[in-house]
Amino acid sequence: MENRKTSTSLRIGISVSMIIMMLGLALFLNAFTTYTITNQMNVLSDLNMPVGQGITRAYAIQQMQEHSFEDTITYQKLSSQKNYEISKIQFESYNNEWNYEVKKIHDLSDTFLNYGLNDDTTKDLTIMSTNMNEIESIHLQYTQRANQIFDAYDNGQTNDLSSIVTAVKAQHNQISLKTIMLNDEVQKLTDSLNAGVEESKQKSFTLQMIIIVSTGIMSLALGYFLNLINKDLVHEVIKKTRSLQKANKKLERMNVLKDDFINIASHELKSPLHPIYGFVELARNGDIGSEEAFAGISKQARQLEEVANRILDMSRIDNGILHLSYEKFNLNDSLTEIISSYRLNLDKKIKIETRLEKGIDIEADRVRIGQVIRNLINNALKFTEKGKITVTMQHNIQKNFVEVTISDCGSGIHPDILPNLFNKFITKGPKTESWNGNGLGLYLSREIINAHGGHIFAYNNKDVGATFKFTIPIMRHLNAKELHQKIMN
Amino acid sequence: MGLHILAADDNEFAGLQYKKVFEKHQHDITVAKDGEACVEAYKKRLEETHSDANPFNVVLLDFVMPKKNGVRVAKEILELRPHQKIIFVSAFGNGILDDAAVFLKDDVEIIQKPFSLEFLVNKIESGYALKNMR
Repeated sequence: MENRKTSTSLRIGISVSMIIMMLGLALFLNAFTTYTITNQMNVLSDLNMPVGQGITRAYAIQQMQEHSFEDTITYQKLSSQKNYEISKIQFESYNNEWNYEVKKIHDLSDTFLNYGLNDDTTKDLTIMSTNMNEIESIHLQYTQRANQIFDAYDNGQTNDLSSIVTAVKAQHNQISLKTIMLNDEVQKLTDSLNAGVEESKQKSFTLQMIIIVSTGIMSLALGYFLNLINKDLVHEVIKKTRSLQKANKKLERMNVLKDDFINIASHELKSPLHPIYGFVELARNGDIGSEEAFAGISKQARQLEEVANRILDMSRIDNGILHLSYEKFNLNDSLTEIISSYRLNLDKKIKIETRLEKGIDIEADRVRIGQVIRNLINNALKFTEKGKITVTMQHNIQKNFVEVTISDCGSGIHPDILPNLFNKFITKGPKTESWNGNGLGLYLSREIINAHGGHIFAYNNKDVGATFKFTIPIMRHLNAKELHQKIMN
Repeated sequence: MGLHILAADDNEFAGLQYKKVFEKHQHDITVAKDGEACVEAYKKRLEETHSDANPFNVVLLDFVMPKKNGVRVAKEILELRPHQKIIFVSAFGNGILDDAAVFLKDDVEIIQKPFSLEFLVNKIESGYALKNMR
């Protein structure tokens, strides 16, 4: 459950970061495409169009220069000196114009490189530049030859010029052709740039579509994971609510138990008071002697003390502060001492017999163990009207335990009571069948024996009466081997 | 004239004191030390009297007793004689006892411990006198 939640959280984190990354990528791509397209558009508007126009102009100027050249030849043949001079000046002027125009184109071409164009475009530009240079060099030769002819005319030589004139004309044609071709190339470059813009647009559109679809898928995944987390949380809340309800019920039950306890405890404390008041009243009225009253009062007071002690013990046990003071003592001595104190004022119909194995020293809380033994004998006496009570002691040194058994021949334990015999107040309370005693004896006995690391249990005998049995370790904190060695020595 | 009283209490001194004080006031009292003995004493007197009247004028019952508790004894007695006057004596607070069906009857009362013996004698005597006057 915990793992699944962690991995789901991780998945949600990844989904969110991927969605953000995708959106960032889309923005970046968009910006990049815009930049590329703008760049290409700039190249088109800043360079290609002026270059195209320049080339067209250069072509036109070339045509006009050629006309001027033909005019000079015609006027020279007609010997119209004045027109010849004008045409020559025109030729010169067109030549300058052409050079100016071509220089402008060169300057523009050089700035192409600053736009960061792709390789193909750069290659096209280089070819264009080479062609331009070629045209320039042909134009230079063309101009030089034309000037040669003019020089010859000026010096009066008129023979054998027709071959040069033909060459000049051929060069003019060459220039015209190459200029047209150059124009075509520029046109081609423009077309390819336009195509590039289209391609960039297309590419960007496709990529953006991919990103949008991926983001959509990511969002769906995110939704799914969130739903998972939500389900887990709902589950968790249901679970927590149930456990709280359970805890609440337990508390309610404990509250009822506590109320019962207070009722029973106050009952146990108030009960002995009633005869005390009775004795006082009877003695005061002279109905009984004061000696009798004092004896009765002190007996009731002792009972009261016992109840108070047991309630105190119980509260110590419930709060986990029952401390045992361990000492070494002979268990048989203790048993004999306790039993002989009972024998002093025993009903003649009842006998207490003992079957004690050879005496052994045990390490335990002598006073508490005595309390348990008295409790069990009291119980046996309470339910036995006549017959014998047998107290048995056995020990097993190898297994490190002593076992004390107290068996009576009374009425036995009621089957309804038996499973809870050692619980608090099982024999007490306003709604239960009641027995003598305050309902804490066996509970305290069990807790004392358990605190020693022992066990206590009870069963009904096959024929008559009941048997109580407890075992406790002979030595505490001592393993069997050490115990064995101790005995061997 | 003396009243016939049956008292059941597992505290031997309490039983003894009832005996002392009621005999002093010239009443006849039978004391039982547990629930079972109480029911037996009631049945025995019922057989002896051979009369339609209740065998005892009042039955005093402790709640918490060995063998049979007070409520069970009261139920058994009321089955035999539905109008037997019964007084419960208890060291429990009143609240905890209210739910038992036997307390719905007019003839059943509860007295909380501790109380003075003279108070008990007076209560029983005056209650009986009142009943006779009606």
